[in-house]
Amino acid sequence: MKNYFTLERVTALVIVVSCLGFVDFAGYYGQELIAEIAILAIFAMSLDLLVGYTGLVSLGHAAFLGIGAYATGILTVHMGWNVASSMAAGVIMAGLIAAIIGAFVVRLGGIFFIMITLALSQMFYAYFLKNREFGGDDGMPGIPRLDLEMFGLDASDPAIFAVFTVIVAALVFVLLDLIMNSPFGRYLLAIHQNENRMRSLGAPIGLYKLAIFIVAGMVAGLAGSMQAQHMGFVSPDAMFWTVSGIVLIMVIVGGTGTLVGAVVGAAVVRMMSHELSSLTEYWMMYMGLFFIGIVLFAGDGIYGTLAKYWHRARDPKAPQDLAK
Amino acid sequence: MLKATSLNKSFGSLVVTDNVSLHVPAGGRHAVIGPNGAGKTTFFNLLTGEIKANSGQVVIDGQDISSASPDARARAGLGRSFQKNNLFMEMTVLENLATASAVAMQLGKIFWKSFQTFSAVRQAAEEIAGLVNLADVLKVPVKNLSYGHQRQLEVGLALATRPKVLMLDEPTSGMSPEETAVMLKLISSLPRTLTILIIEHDMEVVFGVTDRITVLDYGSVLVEGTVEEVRNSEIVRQRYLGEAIS
Ligand SMILES: Nc1ncnc2c1ncn2[C@@H]1O[C@H](COP(=O)(O)OP(=O)(O)OP(=O)(O)O)[C@@H](O)[C@H]1O
Ligand SMILES: [Mg+2]
Repeated sequence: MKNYFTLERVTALVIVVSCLGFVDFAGYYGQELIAEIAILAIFAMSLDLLVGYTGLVSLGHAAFLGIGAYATGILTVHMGWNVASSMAAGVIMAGLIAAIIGAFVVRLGGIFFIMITLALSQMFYAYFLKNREFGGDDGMPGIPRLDLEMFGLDASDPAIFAVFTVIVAALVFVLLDLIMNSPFGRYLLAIHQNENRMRSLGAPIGLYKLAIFIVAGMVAGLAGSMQAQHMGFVSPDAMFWTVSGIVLIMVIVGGTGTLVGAVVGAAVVRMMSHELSSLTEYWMMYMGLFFIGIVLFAGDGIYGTLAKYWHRARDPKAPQDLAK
Repeated sequence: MLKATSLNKSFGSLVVTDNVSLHVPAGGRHAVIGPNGAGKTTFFNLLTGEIKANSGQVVIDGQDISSASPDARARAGLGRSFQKNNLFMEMTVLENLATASAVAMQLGKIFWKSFQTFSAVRQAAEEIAGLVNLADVLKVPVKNLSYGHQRQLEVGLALATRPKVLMLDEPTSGMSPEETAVMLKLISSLPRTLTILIIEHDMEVVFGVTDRITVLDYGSVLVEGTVEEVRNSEIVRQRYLGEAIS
């Protein structure tokens, strides 16, 4: 019996529909917020492929966000490409660099993987910080948005752009959901649970880790390209290590190992930090306390914990299904 | 079918495998026995590549795998179980066996189709579950399984790779006499064409399922021969079997 209407898919659908419904009367501020969260959700989903599904905790994922953003910025502003091609190029560029980095780092485990990804991403940060041609620490302004003229739409309208980002995030969800439910996705789950056994069964685990590292890099590159278009601007700050840290917190807060968890985490952390920072100067401390609370009392994250209670309430005796 | 020639391994100054050779013909049933710390598990690890040998050669079905990676050796036909349970603890029995079957069928490159739609995988998994007497607990998460059932699954995962040579590292370790009897029956019931190499302390199991025995002692081969030869060997009686049977 195949179950197409999993809790995760239904939740994703509800989120997408409510975002689209909300755009119309959200006003400028709400529309900007939706676009920002949708982009962060794409970024967080890409990191969750590594952290939650495969067990590779990266603290340098912002490098790929930055590469996607700079690729779009450089190609449109300096070289006159159209935005669509620059998006594709950003995704491919992020994938290529992920392939090169991944070839070296996927063999490493635990803390070494964390430190190396952190160090490498800081190298990218330092490069763009110093490079005058691409604006150095001032960044690069004047990045255009995708031309939606062929649909009779104007992407500079915040409502239109918000809808566009939500649709792209939904498509990313569908694609990644497909991938993670495939045999390839099953390999990754199994590698996460017991890498040693997976190898002795005959799976070349390094190749699979490399493959998902590349996919995660490409999706992060897409998020970066969208972010550059949204803000019309990119600076080295996009790839600073704190950006990697915050997206990791988003994934953990929402719940690792599910795409919706990453989406929920992106929305909650983004909204909380914004609300808190307008209320108090000590908002970082409250965010920290909130994060500690989640880790201590809801180790599966917000979505992960709710999903667990939901499954338990529906069928108390059933074993926890891996496929969710 | 499986041929190991002059395998050597030392950890620092400790020689753990000392010029060990072994030949198991197709369909052969070969036991490796020896006291604790004799180097039996290490010998298995040298065969499967989990530990790199200092020197020596491993050939399976005519294919030299001496320098191949562990996963390549598994694909070449070496399927092993572990002395200490080494399972996918967060999955059910069925999911464990389905995962192993998917690896055996090398489906990992397929990323566009739902895993659930592969009925051949499910069939293979259920078939293995039947072989290792786990058909009744397919949906049970491994972490809720009894120890004996977990040991059976350990063998099931090795079988699911459809190995040419099945390598079992103390399949009955830690088992009650009843569970051991189940395991003995299970191993005896495996198809006669399957080549088996087994490490075992329980002499009833060894004499029950194997036709040749290698006795390891301090990393080197003390005696190698048929069950009868080893049983009657004076030196083995003195050094090892004395305590095990009498
Ligand atoms: N990675 C290692 N580093 C150093 N010494 C090791 C290592 N692995 C095993 N040894 C040593 O090698 C010797 C043989 O160990 P091994 O596990 O192969 O024995 P065994 O015959 O399987 O024993 P048992 O019956 O207890 O399972 C032991 O003295 C062990 O301490
Ligand atoms: Mg051992």
